[in-house]
Amino acid sequence: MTNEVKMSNYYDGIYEVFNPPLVYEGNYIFLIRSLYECSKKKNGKNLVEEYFYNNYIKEIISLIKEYENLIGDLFLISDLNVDGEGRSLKVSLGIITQRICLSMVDDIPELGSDYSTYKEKVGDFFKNYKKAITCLQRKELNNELKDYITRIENLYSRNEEFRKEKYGNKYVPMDFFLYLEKLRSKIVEFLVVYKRLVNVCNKEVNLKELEDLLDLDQFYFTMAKLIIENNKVVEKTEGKLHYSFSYVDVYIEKLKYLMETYSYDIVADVVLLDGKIVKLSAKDLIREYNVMKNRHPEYRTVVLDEEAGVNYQDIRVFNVLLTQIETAMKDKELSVSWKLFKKGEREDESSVLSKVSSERKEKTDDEKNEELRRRIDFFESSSYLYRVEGINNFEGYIGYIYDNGYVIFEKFYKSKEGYELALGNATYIMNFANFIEMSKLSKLDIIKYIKAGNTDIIRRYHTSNWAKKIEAIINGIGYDVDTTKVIENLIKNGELNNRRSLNQ
Amino acid sequence: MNDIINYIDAEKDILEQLIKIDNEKMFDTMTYDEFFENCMVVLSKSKNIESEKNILFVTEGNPILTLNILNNVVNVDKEVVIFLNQGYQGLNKWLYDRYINITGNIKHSIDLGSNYNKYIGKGYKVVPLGEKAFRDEVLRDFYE
Repeated sequence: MTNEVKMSNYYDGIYEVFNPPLVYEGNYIFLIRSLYECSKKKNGKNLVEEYFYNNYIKEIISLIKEYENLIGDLFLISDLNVDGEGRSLKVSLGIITQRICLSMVDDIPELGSDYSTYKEKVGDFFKNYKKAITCLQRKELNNELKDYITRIENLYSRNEEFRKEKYGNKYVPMDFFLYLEKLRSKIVEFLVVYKRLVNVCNKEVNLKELEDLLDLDQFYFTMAKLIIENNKVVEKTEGKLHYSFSYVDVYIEKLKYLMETYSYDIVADVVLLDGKIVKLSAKDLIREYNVMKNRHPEYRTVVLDEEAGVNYQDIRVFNVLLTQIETAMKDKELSVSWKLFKKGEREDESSVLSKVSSERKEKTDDEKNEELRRRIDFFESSSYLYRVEGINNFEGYIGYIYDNGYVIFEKFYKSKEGYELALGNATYIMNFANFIEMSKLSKLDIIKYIKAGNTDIIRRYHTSNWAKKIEAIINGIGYDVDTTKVIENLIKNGELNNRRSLNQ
Repeated sequence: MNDIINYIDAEKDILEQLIKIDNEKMFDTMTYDEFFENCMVVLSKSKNIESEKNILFVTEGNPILTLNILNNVVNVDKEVVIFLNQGYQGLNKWLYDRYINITGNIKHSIDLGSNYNKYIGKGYKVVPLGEKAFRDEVLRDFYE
């Protein structure tokens, strides 16, 4: 195993991690502490920690001293710039603000991405609470502020419960009006320092400076893991993957290449969103990637050629390209109103085969996930004209139509539950003339058809050279008549030479 | 069958050309030296195969496997067919041709056809060789 080759040789710095060649919408967060684990060390000092402390944390803490314990770990946020051009990496002011507001009034303001609007939004947010405090102090009724008044009253009650528990026998109830005054002071003090807090957090992280402080291989690996973690959240809330996943796609491709070509390996401690630290290896990361991507057959990675004069950092360009790509992909997608190779009778696992075949070595989950990933990537990256889905979509067979007249059917998933690899299903190769009628039949009928002597359907089994065989079919590489003649002539010449040698 | 090594040695040029053709068609990267070495290994051992039935070997065309089979069926009286799934046609044709030259045993043959349907239900002892996925599918075809 050698690590002479570095992943960092395959990247142009960390800029493209947070500012990819093609900008995209949406944000993701991660703990600043995650980057400490990727830091270079000098004289025992963690250089990244030092950088963030000197440039951000020291000042943030000085502004919100009272809330230091509440704030906990600080987050960084990668987000689209407010002007819609490029992306930036900043300290997450949103999370700081939400935590402080929660602690004060058990409520959070709606903030958005534009830090320059935060002061006004937070000001407006607390305006109603200040008005509610005034009403309570004056014992006035105000229906418009009813919710705010109730919330403050509840806060007081909870605060008293907390103090009762804390002080026990020494508990003395706090006067409600004193509580209201203290709350108002807190709000006012916070609003006074908030503008400075905005300025500190609005300062973009200097990626060039940060880059010099990082162990880059650890960093690229860590970011891939963190983006996977973020996508687990997006998966739960939106049922899909986020555009940021494209970084993981590219990273994993490079990682696999380095592992296969140079026996590259890496192990890293990664601090997750909840602060837990996990140790994981390259294989662990690839496994997680396979599992996540296999859950999303709808997710496609598209590589574009860069055109001169186009500003790929403009979100409007991204949106136009996205529409164009989606249209182009839709044009390649065909669907039929039947299940492709519906299930036939007696088509189950408990066949004669289990009696004839002795041992049945089960693939591990990792092997199945890797195999599933390989099969999907193989077809999706091939030069197909159209992709055909039946009414059972990705749960059944998918057909790929090629310009040489072949239509290749593959079943990827066993079923949509669990997103497991479909084992024991051969690849079927048909042609333009027969695939529509044949694909309406069950697999059993197809096998009977083949056994009856018909040769217009080819089967290929998933052995280790499956990909080579399918590639040969797609590219029309085979033993044609001319090649067969050449072979025969060679064999004949060899024989003639042998006879000549014997006669000499 | 050890005589075949002399043929492999004497026909190096021919074999290199056949290997080149097969490599291109099968997306392989075999070299003559690898082929020669593997053949030596295979020919250093042999099994005595007996069968009351005609035998159908089904492979994916691996030529070393073909040589292994031919080496082991030299003394088999029954008909032996090696179905090669159209794989490695150059080397397999060469191996079979030289096998016939050496043994004269024309009861044994190779089949470079596109499927083995004609052997189903014909009483052959079916012996699929190769990876598990392949063997399982072949047996499923013959016995279901």
